[in-house]
Amino acid sequence: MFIRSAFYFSLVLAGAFSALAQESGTSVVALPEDAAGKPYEIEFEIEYRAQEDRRSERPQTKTRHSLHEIALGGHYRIEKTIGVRGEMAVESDGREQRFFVKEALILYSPWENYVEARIGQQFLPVGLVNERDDWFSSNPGFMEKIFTAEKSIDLGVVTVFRPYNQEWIFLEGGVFSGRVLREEDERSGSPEKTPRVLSLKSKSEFHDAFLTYFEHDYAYFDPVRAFGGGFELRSPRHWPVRGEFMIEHWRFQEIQSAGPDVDNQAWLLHGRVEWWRLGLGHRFSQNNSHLRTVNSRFALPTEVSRLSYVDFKIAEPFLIRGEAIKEVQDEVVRDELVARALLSWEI
Amino acid sequence: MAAKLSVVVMALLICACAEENFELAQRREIQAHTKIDIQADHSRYLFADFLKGVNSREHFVIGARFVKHKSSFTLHSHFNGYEYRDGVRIRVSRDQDEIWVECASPGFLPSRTELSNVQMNPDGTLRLRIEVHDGVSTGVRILIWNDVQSLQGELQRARVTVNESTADMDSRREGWVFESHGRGARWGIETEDVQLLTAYREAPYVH
Repeated sequence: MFIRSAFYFSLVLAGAFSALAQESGTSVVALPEDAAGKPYEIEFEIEYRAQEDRRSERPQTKTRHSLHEIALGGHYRIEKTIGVRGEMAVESDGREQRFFVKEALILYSPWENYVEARIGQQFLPVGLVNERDDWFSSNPGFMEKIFTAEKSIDLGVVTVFRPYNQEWIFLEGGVFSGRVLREEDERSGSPEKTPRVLSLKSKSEFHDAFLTYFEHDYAYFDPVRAFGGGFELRSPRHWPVRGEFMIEHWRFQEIQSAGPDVDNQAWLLHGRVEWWRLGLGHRFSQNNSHLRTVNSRFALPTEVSRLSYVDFKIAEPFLIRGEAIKEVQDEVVRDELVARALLSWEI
Repeated sequence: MAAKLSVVVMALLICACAEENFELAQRREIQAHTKIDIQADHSRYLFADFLKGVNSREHFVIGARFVKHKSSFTLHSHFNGYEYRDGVRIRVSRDQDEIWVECASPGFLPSRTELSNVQMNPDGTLRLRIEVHDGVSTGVRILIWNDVQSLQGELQRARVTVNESTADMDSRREGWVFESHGRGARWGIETEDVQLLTAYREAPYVH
């Protein structure tokens, strides 16, 4: 808690120190100046969500609806090499509200386009899905096994190294604090091994690709070691009918010191077609797990998740979306219809 | 030859008795089970279906009849078998007309409380819903609901009423903290002077 408070305080101080900083003549990659030369941007997002559990005789059967999230964020370029970015949100699951800081970052780029550092609270850059906040109303179940939470945000340092001064191929590595708060007694614990990630990535207007190694040993949880790879292809924005296709594959182990390990192989596929203001898509994911003892291997129930959606952009900041989610493991674990209205302003 | 034949006959007899002792409820979700060490007063059941994982949320429905005034059954969740006993243990016991529950994670002493809202039927039968969260974001958490509404056992609790706030026992509400968690993906039930009537799993109710 102290470390986090100190970090947020340092963000405030960063502005004051920037006046003393020397002009280095380099540019910040992560915070490009927009066409109007504006050094800042403020974003405001609201999501209204209605959900219906379609499983019979379940307490969640009746429709729930609530103002799911209000978020305020933005970034400010202090000088050419230093910028700050932050986003805070209040999230509600219909029963209780939770305030949290999604992002509170210092962005530092000491060598023009070659090295960039992100220091602070941020989404773990593991795969393509985790960093896409609120992309879907829920993430596939295997992500909870990798991160011990559906999405993962932590305090840490991520460094991007672009040896060829471009994004066709670059390295990204990160180390995070890994402190977790146990819900049972609200006691926080330090990790045995801090979460760390190393990725080889490629990026352009039309694609994203990654190869990643990620591991952690959080307090109260089993250690996880994960290898993943995947890519996303996107058609040019000016095409009348646009498309996206994504595939991610993860092999990860839940390791136990006194018990059998669990080997997991997870797939995620996503396809989307967009025409005019209308979008249609489908996400499929599957996780095959095996319990591995010294001399045997048992298959655990396969986890399958399907999500189909349709969205319509009413105006530039206003999007409505309908999602149908079905998750099966042994039996139907989730069968939900979700309606979302997303409003996002940028100043 | 005669000795071998007698062993086979004995085995068949044990199996026959076990089938009488264990009535599978007529549900699609029920998986085949493996019975080991079944005796008149003390039995152990190891179920053949695996749990969702070593770290998962599981919901069990268990119906049992307490044969004596002091009798009990123990649910072993997320364990690797009776030789290891490395799972979360939930022991439900009858002491005259009171029902008590003891919960423990591997290597630690159990926490105990009376299920004062849970009433047994006059014939000693009881049906409970037990939800075990093990090694997931909520840590280890155990919730218990009495699944029978009338004293005669005629009505079962409507499933729509099974939620966090209606639980007759919630380890978090009790303030119990489990310092370890289950190490396996199997489940089993051990009985002492208890006739097991039904045992199956459903998708969890609490997230």
